[in-house]
Amino acid sequence: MGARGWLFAAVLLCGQVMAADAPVSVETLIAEQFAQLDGRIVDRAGLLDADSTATLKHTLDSHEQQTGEQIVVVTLDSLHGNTLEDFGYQLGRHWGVGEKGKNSGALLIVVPKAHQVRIEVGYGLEDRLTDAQSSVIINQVIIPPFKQNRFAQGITAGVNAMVQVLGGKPVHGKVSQKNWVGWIFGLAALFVLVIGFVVIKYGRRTTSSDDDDDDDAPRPGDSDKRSDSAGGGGSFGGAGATGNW
Amino acid sequence: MSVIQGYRWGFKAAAMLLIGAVLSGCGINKIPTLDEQAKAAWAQVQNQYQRRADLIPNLVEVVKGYAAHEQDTLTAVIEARAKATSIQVDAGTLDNPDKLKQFQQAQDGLSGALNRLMVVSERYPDLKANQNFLALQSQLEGTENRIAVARRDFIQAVQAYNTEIRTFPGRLWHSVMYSDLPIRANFEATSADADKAPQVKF
Repeated sequence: MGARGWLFAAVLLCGQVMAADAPVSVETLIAEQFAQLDGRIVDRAGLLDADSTATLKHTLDSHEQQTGEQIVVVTLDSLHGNTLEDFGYQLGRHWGVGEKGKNSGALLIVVPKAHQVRIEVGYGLEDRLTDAQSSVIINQVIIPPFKQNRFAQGITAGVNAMVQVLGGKPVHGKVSQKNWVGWIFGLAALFVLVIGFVVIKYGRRTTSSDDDDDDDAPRPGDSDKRSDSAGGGGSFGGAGATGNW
Repeated sequence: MSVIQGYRWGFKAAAMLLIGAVLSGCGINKIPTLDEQAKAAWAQVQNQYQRRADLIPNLVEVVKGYAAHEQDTLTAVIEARAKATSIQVDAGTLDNPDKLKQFQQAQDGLSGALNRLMVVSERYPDLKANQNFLALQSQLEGTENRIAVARRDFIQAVQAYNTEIRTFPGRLWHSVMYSDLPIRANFEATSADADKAPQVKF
């Protein structure tokens, strides 16, 4: 029993060492701390308050609903000896951020203790969210508030800029003020989308009750448990930009 | 009689299906699949190097405007670019280790020349404040990172392919059906972190 106790203590100790800043491979880091994507905001460094989380969630969700493009905000305390570039594309691939086939995903990763921020861009968004554009967002929109330790503000502004750029509006210096026409169009599009969904769902239900084929039966592969917050299967190839402050 | 023949036919069909399933289960398709994956990964490597080559004329042009004195460094970049773009390795010559080595050396030469150009540009504050230069600089950094990722994917794809050919049961399939597909040459890691992007400091 004594030996077992020692073993247990040793295992605990190992766990403690891992939790510190010890170097770990990217694969291990992802497997141990970022195994599953369960939302669009993964704030492990605790930079966001409830208000900004809610605002961000709204922005990210509505963008995803309109375009299918997935943007995920990630903050973490330590890269455990890895470079942010290595971590970024492998995390994006692991989670499969973005739609499968379109690879329409992007990550905004903030490591406050290392004073590093990166925008990681999936293959499918490279032509709109270019390296140069990402660099402008980081250096002119995100880093100025970060320098004053206003992280929530920097992250929110950065995400807004990314969404704007993906909507086809480039960022020159400051993010422009609210565009009412855009808002009205966006709301109208959302409305049409919702109506469309309702119609399709309703239509489906009536037809599928007629024939009880196995067509719609769930297969073992696609589980219903897979939540909406999981990634879509997109891939990454190292595009984007990194900044320091 | 006809019922028995029907059974026989059914048996044959079932046997064929079973053989097909067993064969594909044993990995008869694995070698060609991995071969195609390695080729696709190579195409990506080439794309990214090409992307870098495409950025260089603009970069040289912008730097020239501010740092005309650095003619030697600029010429070195242009020459290294010409050399790098002259060596093309397509899927057909991908199995040739010498060619791959040449390709790698030429690209490394270009990386070195570019590094020197970036170090030199550090001395010109006006250049560093130029929006064009900043954009090109971020594109170059992004491209170096993409090259690193594409190279790593290629190295892994070739490793998977070579391992399949050298181990059981891939080894059997290789000798029976795919002896025309050779062991692939891979990128050599010239230094411990050769597969990482060179640090371009500005």
